[in-house]
Amino acid sequence: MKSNRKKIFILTLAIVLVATGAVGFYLFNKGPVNIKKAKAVHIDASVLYKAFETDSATANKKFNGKILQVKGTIKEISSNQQNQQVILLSTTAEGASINSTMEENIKALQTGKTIMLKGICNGIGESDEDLGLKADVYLTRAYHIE
Amino acid sequence: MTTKKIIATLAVTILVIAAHAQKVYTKNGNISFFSKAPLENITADNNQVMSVLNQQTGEMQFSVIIKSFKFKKALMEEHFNENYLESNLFPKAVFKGAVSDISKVKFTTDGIYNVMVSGDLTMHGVTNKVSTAGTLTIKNGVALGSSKFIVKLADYNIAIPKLVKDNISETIEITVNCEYNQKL
Repeated sequence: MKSNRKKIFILTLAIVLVATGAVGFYLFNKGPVNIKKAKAVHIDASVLYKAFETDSATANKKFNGKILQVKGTIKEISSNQQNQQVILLSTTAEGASINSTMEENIKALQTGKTIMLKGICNGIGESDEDLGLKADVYLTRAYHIE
Repeated sequence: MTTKKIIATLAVTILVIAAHAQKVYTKNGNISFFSKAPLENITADNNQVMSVLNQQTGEMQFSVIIKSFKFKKALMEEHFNENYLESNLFPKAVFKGAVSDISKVKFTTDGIYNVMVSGDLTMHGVTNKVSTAGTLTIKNGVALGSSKFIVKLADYNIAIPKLVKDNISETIEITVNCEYNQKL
């Protein structure tokens, strides 16, 4: 009887240790959040930019680090130095865009087309009033949503 | 308007345009960092760096959104933002400085020019003087600024928790690559 109890205790302990190790290993190696499947806040490009332009502190609390689905008109399509596609969505502020670094390059896109991009909002960059350079609001790990 | 006033206005306008033409910028430059650790090396990339270079004076500015650093592992990214750089409190790192020997760079001639950059780097709410060697590569009239330098975490009040002290390096290597493909 005593021997059985001991066996059960050792077995339980072993299971707990293996399970803890497995959870730890999973968490340690877990990749980034699956943007495509994640819930998102839906917003227009101009509304998003206006929010940061008007009150960046409040906009940061509301949007920074969150997954957004942004609807807007393509102003420019280019590539960064890592050959990732960068799509700029127009805003009402001249020279300022929603600057989206794409996770997958999309073909058959053209400027002037209205699209929806889903990605993580990283906040607004730095404007330079002396240079007349407006900051962009950035999205990373962005996907095109059909 | 008298002829003199018209000429003066034109001269000022031309000067302003000429001054602006010397400034180039990018809103999608690249900064990456590398930290050697016994358990696993840590790397992250940021492709949303804003940088402006004045080709005439050598003045240079970088603005880096900390949350734009992307890691392969979610836990690393979370620890980097919450425990180390505290990106909610200090959302940006900023460098304001200059290329000290800009006069030797011929922006109209393709080539690789070795330069020295120095200025103030503000990160995690702390500002320190930084001086490093770099290159300006000119290709088809576009400048690519590159540099690699080491930052000591303690210099920016970035504390490593005791529990992981042996597994995290006290320094990080920062690599800058910014292609100034936009003109003001």
